Amino acid sequence: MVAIRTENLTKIYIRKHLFSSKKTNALENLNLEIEDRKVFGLLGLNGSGKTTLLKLLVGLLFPTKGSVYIFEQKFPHLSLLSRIGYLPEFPCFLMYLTASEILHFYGKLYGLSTKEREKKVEETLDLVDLKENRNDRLADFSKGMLERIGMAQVLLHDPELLLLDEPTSGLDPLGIKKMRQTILRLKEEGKTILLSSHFVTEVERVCDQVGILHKGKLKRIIKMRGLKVSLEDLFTETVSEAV
Amino acid sequence: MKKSISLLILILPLLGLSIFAQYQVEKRFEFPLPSIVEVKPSSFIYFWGSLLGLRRVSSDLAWIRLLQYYGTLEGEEEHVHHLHHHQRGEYEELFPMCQEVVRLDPYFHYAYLFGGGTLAFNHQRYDEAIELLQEGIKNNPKFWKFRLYIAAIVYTKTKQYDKVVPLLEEAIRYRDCPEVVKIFLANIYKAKGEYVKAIAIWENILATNRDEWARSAAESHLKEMEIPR
Amino acid sequence: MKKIFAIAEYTVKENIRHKVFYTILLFALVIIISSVLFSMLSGEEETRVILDIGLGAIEIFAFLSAIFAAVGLVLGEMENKSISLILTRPVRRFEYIWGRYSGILSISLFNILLMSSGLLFLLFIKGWSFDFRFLLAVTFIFLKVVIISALAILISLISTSPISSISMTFFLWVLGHVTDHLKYLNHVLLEEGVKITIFLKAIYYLLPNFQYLNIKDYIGYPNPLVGTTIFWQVAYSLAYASVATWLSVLVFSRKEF
Ligand SMILES: Nc1ncnc2c1ncn2[C@@H]1O[C@H](COP(=O)(O)OP(=O)(O)OP(=O)(O)O)[C@@H](O)[C@H]1O
Ligand SMILES: [Mg+2]
Repeated sequence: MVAIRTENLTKIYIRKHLFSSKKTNALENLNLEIEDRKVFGLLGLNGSGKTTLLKLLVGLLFPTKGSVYIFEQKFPHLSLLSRIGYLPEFPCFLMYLTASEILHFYGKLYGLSTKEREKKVEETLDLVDLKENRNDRLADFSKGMLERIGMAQVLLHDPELLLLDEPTSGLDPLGIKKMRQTILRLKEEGKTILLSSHFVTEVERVCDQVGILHKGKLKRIIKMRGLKVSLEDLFTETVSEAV
Repeated sequence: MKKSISLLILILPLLGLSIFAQYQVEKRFEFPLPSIVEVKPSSFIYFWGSLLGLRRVSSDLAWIRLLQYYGTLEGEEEHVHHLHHHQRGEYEELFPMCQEVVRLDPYFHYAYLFGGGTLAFNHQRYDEAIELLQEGIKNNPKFWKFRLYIAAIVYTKTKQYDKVVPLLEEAIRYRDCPEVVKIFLANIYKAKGEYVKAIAIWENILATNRDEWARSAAESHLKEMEIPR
Repeated sequence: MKKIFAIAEYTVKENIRHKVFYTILLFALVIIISSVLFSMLSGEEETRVILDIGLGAIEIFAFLSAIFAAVGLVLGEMENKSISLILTRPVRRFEYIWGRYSGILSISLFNILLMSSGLLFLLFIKGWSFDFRFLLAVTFIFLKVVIISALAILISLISTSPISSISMTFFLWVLGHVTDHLKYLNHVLLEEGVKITIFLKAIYYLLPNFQYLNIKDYIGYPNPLVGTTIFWQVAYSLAYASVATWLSVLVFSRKEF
């Protein structure tokens, strides 16, 4: 099955100023197909449009042109959102709640019953090693702990498709290693994962497929299995020849 | 786009209902306060108070200012003691201040009674008192005590004290009777030699009033009439 | 419905964990209690002054707490992007807005009830005899807050900064109390030969009309409100607030984060 398919997906940001407006072509005619049960890495320089693409896939942005299909269903569609877990680039929470409260709140938004929620919240808190901090306010959390809560809210409802925007940024080496293990475990469980990064080495280690995004255009899709040259060389080559 | 249109289809009837309901309210109910622009308040505090929907608070503040202007600290000893002592010119602002209070809140009954009673019985400014009370009648046609006070004031003006007495006797039976009126009646009794009745009023003031000056006035009157307490 | 409730619930939670919430409540209670000091200066009209200042304080602080919740929490959530973690779940945009709105109203209701019981207690100590118009005044204070909260949300969605949202809301609050003057203005303009009656009339009906809802200011009015008037006033407030809230939904559903 195809987990994500985009057709001529285009996003143009329009910044209105008093008398003029500034247009940014963040994505141009993106045609992408991602198989399910695969880890797809989105590689690109700063400002290449990775975040824009992920936001379009969860409905935070509306496409200027083109369309998105998720699990063969036209997006946006409310029921699809229960099957997606999204980790924003800078996860930001309601700081006045405690770890377990915020997860319960998100759980309610999926319509989970109290019992299911109790179970899920405990499980996910355990998964991200925040069991002891469950009653601490998020305001008192360190950055790494917040990243972990970010991951917890992705996993809470057991989604089939995970969209992770730079999941390793801001983590210490140990955290990065854990994240890698988590991603590989999730893949084994049969999830589809789309992650963005600008670290070639990160992507190299976990992804089945890598797409190189440059200035809003998808330049190349690389299958990692049986790749002879180094991904880094391929990436720099792609990015510099496009200049 | 389709979503926006369906939302608009939802909003328009609600907007219609809101306009219709407002129209219905206005049809049934005339807004009962004079415009703050017409009131021309003396202080921007009252003006802003009204803009913020605190009209009665503004009126209360004007009222407190009036009481402070009228002074309960010094000078009052004389004006409660001596009936016909005061000249015009003293407390010149009293009348306009009363007017301001009752224009900020036209339903402030006590302010009319107090203002009317004080102007008439303490300062012999009968015309101003009547004007104030008439404004009260205009705004509160059903509040009959204003008519009672006007009658008493008119008779006082023409020195027909015999006719004043029964009117004031009625007035002091009500809780909202200002002290000035009681004191005035007590002084009439005293002048007429009806000491028992006068003493009863002084004692009543002493018993019910918490106000320092009214109490001390009552006490000194009682002492004057040699009633030990 | 469940989701609206969940969002309302966490709005309440968020609010009561905020220091501002307690500051506002504390300040209100201080003012209500200090109305006793003012009442001491007011001669025979002690309970009247306590009642007036008390009701005024209840309204102003309910208004402030509604502004804080609408502008501070809703706009804050959009600015710090924590909203993206809500909207990427199966929540419709209208559920978010109505959830937030009903949360704000629950807090305001709680605030108003708490402050009015404080005021009632004080009044009873001072020997005030109960008057049902008190309940009417308090109810209408809540109706005014129902309207202004809806407007505050709409304004925070349209404007960009908290300061401009707050000042716009404040401006509407004041305008809503002087809508009658538009008639007066029309009269003056007509005499000058300027004919914009229809325009002014439109503004008149589009602005929130707090003047008629401001029962606490004409509580002593000799012709008390009759049932049908009250019915239409309530209908007006609810209809107006729904218009504002659905407009918020309209604006919000086109917003990107
Ligand atoms: N809200 C916005 N308004 C206007 N322009 C925007 C907006 N968000 C992003 N852009 C522009 O769109 C382009 C793509 O941005 P995007 O955030 O998708 O990049 P990215 O690949 O995620 O970069 P990074 O690696 O730095 O996170 C950039 O040129 C950026 O300036
Ligand atoms: Mg990014």
